[in-house]
Amino acid sequence: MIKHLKIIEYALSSLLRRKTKIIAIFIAYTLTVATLASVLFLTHALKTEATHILQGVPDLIVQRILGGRHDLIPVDYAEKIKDIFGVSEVKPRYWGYYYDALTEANYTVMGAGDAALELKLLDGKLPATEFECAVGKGVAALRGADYSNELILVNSRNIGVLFDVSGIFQSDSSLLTNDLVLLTNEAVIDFFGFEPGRATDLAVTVQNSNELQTVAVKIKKLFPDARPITKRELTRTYDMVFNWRSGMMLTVFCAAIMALCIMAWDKATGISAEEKLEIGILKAIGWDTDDVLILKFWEGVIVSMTSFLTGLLLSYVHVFYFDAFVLSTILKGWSVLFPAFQLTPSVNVLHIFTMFFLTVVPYIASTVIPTWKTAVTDPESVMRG
Amino acid sequence: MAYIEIEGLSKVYNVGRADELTALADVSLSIDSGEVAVLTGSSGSGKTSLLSLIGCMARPTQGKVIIAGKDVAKLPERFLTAVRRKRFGFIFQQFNLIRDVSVLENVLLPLYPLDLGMSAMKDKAMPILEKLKISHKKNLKVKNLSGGEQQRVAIARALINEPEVIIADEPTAHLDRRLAQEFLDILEVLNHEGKTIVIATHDPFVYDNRLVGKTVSMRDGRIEGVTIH
Amino acid sequence: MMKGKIFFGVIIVECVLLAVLLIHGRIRYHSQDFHHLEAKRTLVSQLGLTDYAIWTEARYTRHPSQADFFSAFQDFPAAFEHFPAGGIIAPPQFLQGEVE
Repeated sequence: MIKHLKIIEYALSSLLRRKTKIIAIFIAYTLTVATLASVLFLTHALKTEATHILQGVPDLIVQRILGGRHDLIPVDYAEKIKDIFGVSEVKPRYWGYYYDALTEANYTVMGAGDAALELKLLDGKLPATEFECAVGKGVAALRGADYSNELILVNSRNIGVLFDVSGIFQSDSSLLTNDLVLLTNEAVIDFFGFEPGRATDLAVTVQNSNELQTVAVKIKKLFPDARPITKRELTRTYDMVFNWRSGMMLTVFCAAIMALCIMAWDKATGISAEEKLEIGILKAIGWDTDDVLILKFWEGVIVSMTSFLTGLLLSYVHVFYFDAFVLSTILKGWSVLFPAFQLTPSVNVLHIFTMFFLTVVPYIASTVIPTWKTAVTDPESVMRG
Repeated sequence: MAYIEIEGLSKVYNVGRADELTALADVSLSIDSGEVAVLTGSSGSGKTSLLSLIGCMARPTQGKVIIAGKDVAKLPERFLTAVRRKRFGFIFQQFNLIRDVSVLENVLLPLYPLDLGMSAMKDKAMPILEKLKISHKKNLKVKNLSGGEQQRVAIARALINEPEVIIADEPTAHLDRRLAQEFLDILEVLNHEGKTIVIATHDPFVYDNRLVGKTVSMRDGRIEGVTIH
Repeated sequence: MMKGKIFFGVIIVECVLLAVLLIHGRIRYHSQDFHHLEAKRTLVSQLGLTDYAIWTEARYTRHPSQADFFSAFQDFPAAFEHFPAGGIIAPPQFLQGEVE
């Protein structure tokens, strides 16, 4: 024990001698861990939140597919679906996208249906008349609707329509409502010029969630052009979207690991003449091969542990206290309307361990292994200067 | 009885390769306890090789190295290290100090792998540093010291394990006359304390010194002659 | 053993900080559970929302769960899928052979 403490002491002096190099490694290492951890924390938090929030999504959404594309669904499908055993309610949903040339942003225009007029995360009310709308924080900010209380949108007949803003969603709900423009169902039909008797899709409520799949199959049988999307599929989508192995997450991850490997490789191949001499001296004055390896092990632990912990701390603060401001610019892509994240902190301990094994362990190995070769040779070489 | 006994020792480097080199060929020698022995000869004569074999820094190709009655030539590495740590103190030509570390840490370095507390280690080091008159510089980094001071740090490091044998390779190569004399004075004190001293040098100032009890002249990896003073 | 003490000090401080952050996070999580998560869930069920409003550039990024097979290819089957968000999100699960 005391031996290890002393060797740690010497390892520290030894590291301090190579200050610039160590600081460079520390910074690179910390940034790698911080990036990795930020991605993992962010996606995990989004995922956890999604699985909680999306519990409220409709049990079943029925779309109509025409030529492989999403098409408007006849509302009278609803009548027949309602007759399927186990279905308690079918509501047509009216929604679509609106490209606002003025701000070069896409909005989602949605019919509020028969939702309660007052909602907790809404300042004001949902639209009660055809001339009212409720908008997300992003839209409100982009269009200055929070000051003017008015919103002009151009409808499908190329006529500007003036809506009174009856409510604005609070920023806490931005992740869900940022780009929303809520109108009454009638207003949406008129605005987009939907054919009469058509809706965007149908939201189906099923009494017993176990029967969801059976109902979906029945609907598919009844209407071959329909595509039922179950609640489970919906929530699973978000499990997938933020799967840390997918897409960019993987890329970022690989890049980070690669960078670390380059660093490790450089260390592994670059045991300098000076380091060799030092190992020789230590052996000559009575250090065992084991002792030299212990020294190098602790050097690796010191550098990697401090960097790892610092990186974790940085990423945690970055993601949960600064709303992932660095990462969100990457996530943002081409979105003009990008919601401000306010994530509920949730961390997967397994992720921390994974990162530990993928960063700390290889680093320590890459400090110890190259030394081993030098350390087992006879110290005689130092005699020769 | 001889403290160090060498029998039929040879050392060949790069055995079986084109650049095979015989550094020592069939060398036999004995050095008594408390003796000051000097190995002389031009560079390449095998002094340093012999010194490192005596000091258990390398293993011979053939022959025996008997230290205090025990043949160490065939010992596994771990035991060799233990012998080296327990019995020998080394003073190298280049001093081989860790330049960016303090004087005290350099001197304590041989004790790090032992189960000895930091304060006990310091208690051991301080009298030695005082004896060598460098205790006032213990917190300075070695690279800020003069050549003579560096050598005294190297000596202090060699003494910290209370070795029975001091091995010095060309110790005066980087010292001027005055410092070389100072070094010999220190050796004299150590010798009076009973330490066996083996020096490899081609500096006549060292091998002509009255301190020296045995001069071993070497040439091409063989012993040419042994003079006892 | 000054340096060693400083090192262990740093490590301990970092561990404690991390633990405090994680615990604080847990507490925040549970308090938000009452305030916002519930409200958000109500919002979702009342308005029939299905997706996060993170990427608004295309319908398969705005509503990944609602996207049909081909929406990533926008207007014709050979079109390159070219929005950055497409690189972040995974393909819809029915393309990954995980349909029940």
